[in-house]
Amino acid sequence: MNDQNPVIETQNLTKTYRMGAADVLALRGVDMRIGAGDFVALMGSSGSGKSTMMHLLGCLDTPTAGRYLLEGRDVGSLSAQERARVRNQRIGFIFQTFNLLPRLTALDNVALPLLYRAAGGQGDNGTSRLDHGAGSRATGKQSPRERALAALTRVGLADRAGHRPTQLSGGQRQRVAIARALVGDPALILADEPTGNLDSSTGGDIMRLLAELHAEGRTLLLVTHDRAVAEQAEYTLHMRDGRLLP
Amino acid sequence: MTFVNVLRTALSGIAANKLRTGLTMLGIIIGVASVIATLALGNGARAAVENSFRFLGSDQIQVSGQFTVEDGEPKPAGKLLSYEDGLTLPDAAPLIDRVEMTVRGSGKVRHGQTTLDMPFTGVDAGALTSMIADGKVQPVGWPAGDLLTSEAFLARGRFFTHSEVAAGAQVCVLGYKTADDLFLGDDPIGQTVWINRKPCEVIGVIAELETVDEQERTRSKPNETFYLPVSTAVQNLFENDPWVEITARVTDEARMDEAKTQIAAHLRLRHGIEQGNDGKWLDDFRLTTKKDILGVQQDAARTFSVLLAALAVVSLVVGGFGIMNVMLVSVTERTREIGVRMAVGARQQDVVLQFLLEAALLSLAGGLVGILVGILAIPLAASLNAGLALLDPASIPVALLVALATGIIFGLYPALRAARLDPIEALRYE
Ligand SMILES: Nc1ncnc2c1ncn2[C@@H]1O[C@H](COP(=O)(O)OP(=O)(O)O)[C@@H](O)[C@H]1O
Ligand SMILES: [Mg+2]
Repeated sequence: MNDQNPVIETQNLTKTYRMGAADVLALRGVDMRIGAGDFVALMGSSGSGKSTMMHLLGCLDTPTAGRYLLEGRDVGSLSAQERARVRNQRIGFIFQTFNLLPRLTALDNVALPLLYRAAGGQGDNGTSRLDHGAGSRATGKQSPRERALAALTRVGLADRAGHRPTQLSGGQRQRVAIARALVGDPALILADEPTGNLDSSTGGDIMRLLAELHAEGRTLLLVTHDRAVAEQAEYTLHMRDGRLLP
Repeated sequence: MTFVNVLRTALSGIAANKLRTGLTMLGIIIGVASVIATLALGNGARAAVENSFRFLGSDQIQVSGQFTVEDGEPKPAGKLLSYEDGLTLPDAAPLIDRVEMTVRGSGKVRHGQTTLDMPFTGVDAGALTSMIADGKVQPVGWPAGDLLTSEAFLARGRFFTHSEVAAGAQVCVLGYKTADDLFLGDDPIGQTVWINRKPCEVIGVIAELETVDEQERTRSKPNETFYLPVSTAVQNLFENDPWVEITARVTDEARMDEAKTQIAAHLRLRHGIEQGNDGKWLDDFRLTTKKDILGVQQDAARTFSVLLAALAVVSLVVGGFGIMNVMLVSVTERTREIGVRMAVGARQQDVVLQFLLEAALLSLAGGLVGILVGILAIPLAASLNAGLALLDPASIPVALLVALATGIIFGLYPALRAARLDPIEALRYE
């Protein structure tokens, strides 16, 4: 683990859901450090708070208490707009249910993050110059479609670019989703049970793909129930009752 | 997102709900069609006035006599407008710098053995210009749309000068057929004709004229006439004071009402007009401006216009709420989509823009159809308003703007609702 410049560093991260009168303590103070280039599996029984943790790390949700530093930057102090930008440029999120837009082709789904990038006039140079400068510059000149096609090619689906999600198998859909997570050249890829909806052989393909991405130097955090899947990661973190086990 | 991408996204959103979209667009369609029809009514009235009062410039006041009908015959209500009335007007009314007077009658014109009896007109030096402005007659075969000039109205010679009119010179200008009939092809310029036994030098011949309206060509005889300076006509051709038509030109278009007051004061003095029991002047004349005529025409169109405008407002509000409803349903149905877009980096303003644009496109589409319906409905509106309705070209952008504004105003709430969604809540939505 690269302890000098962690991609993720959380301190006492806490999340409480209010359910009517009762509070559900989903996270009870999590301290987590993940270094650049790490490939980490996150395990734990259902309800232990893994998804909640992933959502906070993905800037999709905000913690009730505690700090979250992404690439050394305190994400808790960011505005909604800045968090959108972080999601757009620094994080690739892979969901268990794929979450592709049904009316868009595979190519358009993959290109989606890039489209939200063009508008603000904030190209990939902003934050990515810090440590992913080389990768960004290499892809910076291409159009969103070209970059999306390159990402689709990377996951082996270039020939399905014009297909809609309903015309693709589960494994292919998850590949499209991975391409979408990759296309913006993020600092961190988060995958919440990416093989949970797939049969084991298809799931194996997806895991091989993720392992390849790690081999290319990307930082991955992966939630899984499957010990065999977790074994492909460099190391495994365990959660129970909203806490990270030592 | 670039605009093209926003547009693509919005369009695909609309395409997903064609039927519901079409139905709720009905309000916008009716609203926009009503806008078009309302403006066509106003425009029709305006065009009608333009057409029938073309001779009256916007800086002119028409002075005419008041008539009452007795035993089916029109009788002047008091004194007729006299040549003197007009002649003294510019001095008495400071805002009037010039009057043009016209007097009509019929008289005998003789040359050699030939004597002809025909209508004549006593006119001012600017009569040809007035004739062009009036637009009722044109030189035979004049190409439609070509600009007319005073020169085009003259076959030979020239028209009266201001000094000839002022001096009451013994000169005349002949109609084309009159010249032909009297001189049988000889050049009449410089020759003398006898009008009611007074000698008059022919200084010009009017070009052969026809009425612009083709249906009137068989009835009217614009070439069998002659023209005299109005002063000469008044002196030589009438036994009693003739009735003249006066058009007064106002120096300052912004002070038309003041000018009217000055004219009225002058004529009341000359005609000895008194106030009635109710304090109102018992005038025997009438003062008319283009604005007055327009006002009367527009008043007639107003009741109907108000109804149409109300229909427009109601339908636009109904249509607006329809759009709001479609958009709210759309936002709800696409909650997950919004969540996904936010998860990959859509900011709140991106989401607002997407749904606002969708609403705007919906209303614009309704607006376009509404404009078509409105144009098709103009004949119907005309039949309910004495035939006066004419498409106002400016109403098309106005209608589009109205439609656009409706879409944006009513689309704002759903768009903001979409943008305020929490990304993770939206992703969880089933
Ligand atoms: N939106 C929510 N509202 C209320 N409670 C929630 C919500 N999301 C998760 N929880 C609760 O938080 C705890 C952790 O859930 P989660 O993070 O989804 O666990 P995991 O992904 O490990 O199965 C569970 O007790 C769950 O019921
Ligand atoms: Mg979970």
